[in-house]
Amino acid sequence: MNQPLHSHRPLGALDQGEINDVTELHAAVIREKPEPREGFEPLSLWIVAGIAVLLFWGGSYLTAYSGRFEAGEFSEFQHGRPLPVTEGPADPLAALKREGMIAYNGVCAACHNEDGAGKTGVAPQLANSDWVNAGDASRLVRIVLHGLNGPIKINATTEFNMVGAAMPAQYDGIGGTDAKLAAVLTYIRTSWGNTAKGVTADEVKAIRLAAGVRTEAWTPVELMALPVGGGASTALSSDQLKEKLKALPADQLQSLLKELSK
Amino acid sequence: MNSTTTSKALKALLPGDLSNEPGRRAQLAEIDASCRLPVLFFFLSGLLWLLVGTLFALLASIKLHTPGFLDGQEWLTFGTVRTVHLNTVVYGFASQTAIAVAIWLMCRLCRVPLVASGVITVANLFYNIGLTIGIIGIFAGDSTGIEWLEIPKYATPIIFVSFALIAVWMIIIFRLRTERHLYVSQWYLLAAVLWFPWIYGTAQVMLLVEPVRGVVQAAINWWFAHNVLGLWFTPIGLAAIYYFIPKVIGRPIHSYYLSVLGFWSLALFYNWNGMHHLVGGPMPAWMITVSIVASVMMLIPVLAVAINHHFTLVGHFGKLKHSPTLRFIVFGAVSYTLTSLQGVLSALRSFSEVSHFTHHTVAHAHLGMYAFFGMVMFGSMYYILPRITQREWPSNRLISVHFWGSALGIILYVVPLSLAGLQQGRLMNNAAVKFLDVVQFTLPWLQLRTLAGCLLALAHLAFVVHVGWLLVRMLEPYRKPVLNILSGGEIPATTEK
Amino acid sequence: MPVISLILLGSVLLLPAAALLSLRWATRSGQFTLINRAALLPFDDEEPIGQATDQILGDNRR
Repeated sequence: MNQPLHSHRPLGALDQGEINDVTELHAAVIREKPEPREGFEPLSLWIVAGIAVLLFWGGSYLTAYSGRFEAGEFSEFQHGRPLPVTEGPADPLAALKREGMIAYNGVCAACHNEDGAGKTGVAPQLANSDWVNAGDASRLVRIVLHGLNGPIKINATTEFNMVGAAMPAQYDGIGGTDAKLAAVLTYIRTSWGNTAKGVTADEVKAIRLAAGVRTEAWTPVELMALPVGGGASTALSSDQLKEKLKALPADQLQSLLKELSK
Repeated sequence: MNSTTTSKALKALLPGDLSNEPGRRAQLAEIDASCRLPVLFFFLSGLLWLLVGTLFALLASIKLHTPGFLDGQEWLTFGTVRTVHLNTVVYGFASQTAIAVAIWLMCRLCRVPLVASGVITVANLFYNIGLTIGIIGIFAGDSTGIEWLEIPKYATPIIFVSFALIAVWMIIIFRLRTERHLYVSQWYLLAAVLWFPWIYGTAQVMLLVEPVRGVVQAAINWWFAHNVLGLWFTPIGLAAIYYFIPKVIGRPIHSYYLSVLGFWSLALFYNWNGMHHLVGGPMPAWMITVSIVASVMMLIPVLAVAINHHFTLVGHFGKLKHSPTLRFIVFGAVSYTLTSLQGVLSALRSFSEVSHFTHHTVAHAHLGMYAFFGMVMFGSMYYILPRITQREWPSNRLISVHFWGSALGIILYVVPLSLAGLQQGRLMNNAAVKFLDVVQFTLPWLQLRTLAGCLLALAHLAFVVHVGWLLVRMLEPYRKPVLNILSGGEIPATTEK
Repeated sequence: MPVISLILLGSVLLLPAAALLSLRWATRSGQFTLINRAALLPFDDEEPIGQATDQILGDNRR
């Protein structure tokens, strides 16, 4: 290969620079060792395509679920979590009971037990209790709102003494909304053999407003002294309401207003 | 097989007696000899911590299904035992063997002997002092309560400084290299030794020295905890796999392009992953979403590595029978693929809603830390130790006990607990099921885990005994060269006296 | 919290810079062009391609 190729060619021949010697013609090819395939196998097109698909998915997911990249956006759904689609005639009572059960099992069941049987010396029974089954749920609403303290008589026979183990206020504990409280009471009043009717959020709200601000727990005696409906009259005229509000001490009125503006 | 004919066959393969030809294996031997003390120290202290960690793992596992076990010992509550287990295996065993493997690999691939190896030995000493103080601190009740960072802050600076020293030494070795080109393992090693001081230092300052407030703590905590795996253990493990598979079977890696792609995509995506541990938590939605996207993007490096290793191995699976290194390394490589795929799945919101806070996550962590990283480290030790000690492994039976104990143990650990964890998650999400029933459901699976833990403990004991035996052989005079480049897989019976 | 701000700022600036620099270095020093050479690095004259190492488990040893 050291001598120039054209020295083999007859001068002036009408070729295009080819040479006749086959061995010499292929010398460059023969000299070449086979390329080791291993070590630099090129990237398969499938891999490139797969990466493209992944990147595309990543971009779409990022756009859809990043809450507009706002620091205060904690839900990946920009307009809140979509409501579960219920098929067929939905059963509002069952849905309410289910919601109530989750809150009950999470908070109340620690003392009242998951089957509502209560625990001796800790919390009275809720199953088959005249307190629970009363047509008027206002006492129950107040108990959950502010707690209960003192000996309580159930079904006119069973004395339950809870001095020293008072029930604390649980309104915030179960979720802090009237709807949650209504759901819990509905669950309690329709489960374990209880046959009372459910409670709505509006009823709870009315009683909560009527009860006002209160820091100490109710006693059973106090509750029994309350009129049926718990003093909450949804039919209260606006004048009556004004009078009632005027009668409130200034500090109570202020905290009530604060409560309402929440 | 007659040993004299074997020796003859060997002599035909080798150009004469090796001991008379010091120049032939001079470079590799010199590199191995220069690494001997520091690498041996890191391996041995790592193995001691492994025994301690295994003991506490067993205690923790038993306590989960038998709460009355040792309940009179107030320094052995579950909170302490589990924390000690985590910190001894992560910072004692895994990190120290990782450092040893990293040093040896770096010297070999740069083709330079380890300079001033005494510095590394001193770093090892201080690392162990720091860790011992930390573990005693945890027993004394000084645990920081931050997962993966429980070591109290009076011990961590010692660990950090010894680690930084090792990182500096790795860079020095790298600068002294006589080979211009870099192998993919070197990319991983260099990145890992720089990444770890960064994440450890950042987490220490932001969580312990001058703690940030609120959910940012949780964010940094999981950014760190996930990156210990992703930016420290994973690169070192992959560096070892990338070196040992080609080395053991004597065939270059299938596609170097793929390995380059794997490294850079891991570097780009892994450190975003941590937030997926906080799915459902009070974090800005975009942080978690970004993390989920990055977690899914991890499919790119994971599949690149998996494809590369598989096609390198194709046609050489028979060698698994003869090489303990290859057995452990391939087991680790397969586990890496599996644990990464499981990790991608767990990062998705819909899956995380079920698997979060269940034993599924525990199984996943062990698939990553043990079945992937631990096994790769064991495999590396089987390769490195005979070379730096210049003695052969004394017993094939102990190797088998170790491999099958570890392999079966971790399979028995991970598979049932992963599945049971999912069922546990489904039960926990069902408000109609009482919590105590969920606890009852997990009991048999937790007992099974203790059984698996016993298998692992047996395997570790076998390995430690074996390493001890190897070291005892170092006391005997040097007689035979290390023979490891046989194509037929036949070796004279070196144990014959 | 000046320390934390410094660390954050430093990390944010330094890390991508380091990554970019190392990429630039790798490209310039030919790490990506002579890629077949890099793939052969685990091997040398003493332990060349085609020779398996670590074949120690066999039937002829106990």
